[in-house]
Amino acid sequence: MVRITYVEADGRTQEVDAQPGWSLMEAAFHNGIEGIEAECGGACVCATCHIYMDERYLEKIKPMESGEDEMLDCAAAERKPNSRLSCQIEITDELEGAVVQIPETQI
Amino acid sequence: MSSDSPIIIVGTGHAGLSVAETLRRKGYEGEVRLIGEEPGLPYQRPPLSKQYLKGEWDESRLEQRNSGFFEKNRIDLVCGKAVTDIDPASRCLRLDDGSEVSWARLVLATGSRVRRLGVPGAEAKGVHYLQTRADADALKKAKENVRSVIVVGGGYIGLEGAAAFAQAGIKVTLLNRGTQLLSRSTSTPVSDYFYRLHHAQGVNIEFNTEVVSVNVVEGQAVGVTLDDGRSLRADLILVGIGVEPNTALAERAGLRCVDGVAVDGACRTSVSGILAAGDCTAFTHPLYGDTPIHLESIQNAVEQGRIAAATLVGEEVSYDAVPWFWSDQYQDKLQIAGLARGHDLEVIRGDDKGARFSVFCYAQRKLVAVESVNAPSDHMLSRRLLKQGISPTPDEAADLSFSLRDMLA
Repeated sequence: MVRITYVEADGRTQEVDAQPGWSLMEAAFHNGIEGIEAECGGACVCATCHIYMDERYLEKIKPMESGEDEMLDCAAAERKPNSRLSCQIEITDELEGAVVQIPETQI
Repeated sequence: MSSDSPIIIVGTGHAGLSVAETLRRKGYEGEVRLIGEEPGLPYQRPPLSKQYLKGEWDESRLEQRNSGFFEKNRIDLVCGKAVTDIDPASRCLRLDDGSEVSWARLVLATGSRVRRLGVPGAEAKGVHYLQTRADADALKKAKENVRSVIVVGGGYIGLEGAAAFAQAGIKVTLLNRGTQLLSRSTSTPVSDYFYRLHHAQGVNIEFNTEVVSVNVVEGQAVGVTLDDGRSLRADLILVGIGVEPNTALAERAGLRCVDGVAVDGACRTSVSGILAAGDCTAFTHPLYGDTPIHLESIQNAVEQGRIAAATLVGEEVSYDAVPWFWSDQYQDKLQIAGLARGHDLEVIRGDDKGARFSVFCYAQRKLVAVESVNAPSDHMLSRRLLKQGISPTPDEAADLSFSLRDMLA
């Protein structure tokens, strides 16, 4: 398992033991983390699992494809350089210790 | 125990879970019990016809929340028990094991059930449906040993099933009753696109055809007979001819039902203390006039669940979310914002013969729905346009250089 910390918009943090091979969205969703709506269940079609990725880990994850890029432009919260859709980030052992920030709104 | 507790939720699908989870997020402290007919933890339905059927996901990945979540949030999950009767007068319901449960407030999230194929032979082994995890398990198992499949119905389940079979190298014949695929839910350019997509993947699609019987040999379905007299052979038959709202409990209890359990914008039924959410409901929607609508979608299940929970904790809310849907077939993505009922104009943005376009549907010059094929930004922006009641003119919608984003407040 891979230890991931989710920081909710109000500052509350929750540590989760995440399954490698799943997505960062799924690990959050499965544990009921508030603020990752993931309405579409991970099909990259709703932009409601927007996160700000731990900058120390940005090079350890796959770069985004054009669909994700487009969806991020439509996300409800401000897009930042470290914005990603958490359904598109696969959990690997390399992400151990990553801290994922959840924006204030998804919808 | 205060008079607002316990809250009993009937149904562990997307709507029921959404009610329970939202109650806790809103700080409700009373007892919450979620009762469902199916065994195991609540699971996500959309992947059943997609990643799960293809074998890309295992069972744990389907689960909505882990067991720790239910404990931590004090959601009492009762699985594998069907509710057989509800009695509004005594605020008591009965389970199929004979036990009784009292409620202070009740939420019906009973979902829908598949329409069965009502022809001779349809009960034979080898005739499959796809709505529950058990259905998907049976289909996945059967799929390993078949070389040919007949899919009855050209809606989402039929097409997603056909895609999963075709991708597994299985010969697929899809039988469609009308002249176009997805006829109940999409515009002509979109249904034509999906026809070409499936045709290119080797799926044989027959239009204007009805099954009059399932051909059975020794209890096993071996094919179908069509209304033109032809017989087609197949090792497996998948039926996807729609669903109907589960209203039996509500009807027997005297709740008003019209093509679903009638609810208002706050998810209240006609009986005080009983709410309903998700596929089982029918309601008028501020964007779609006075005729009640009935939606079968995740978006509606989740958002009505939230509304029901808000009502239960005393908030004044009214449901006005823009409906949206999606479907994945092969590498392609269809996304629909709004409802295209009774539209009188279809405007294409992009190239509908290519791999990326949207169809803007208007009724009396007002934008009512946007269907996007591999155009996620059109979809997301359209959801906001519809929400804000903004209609680009047909000329603007057709002009790719026109910015939809700039129209938004």
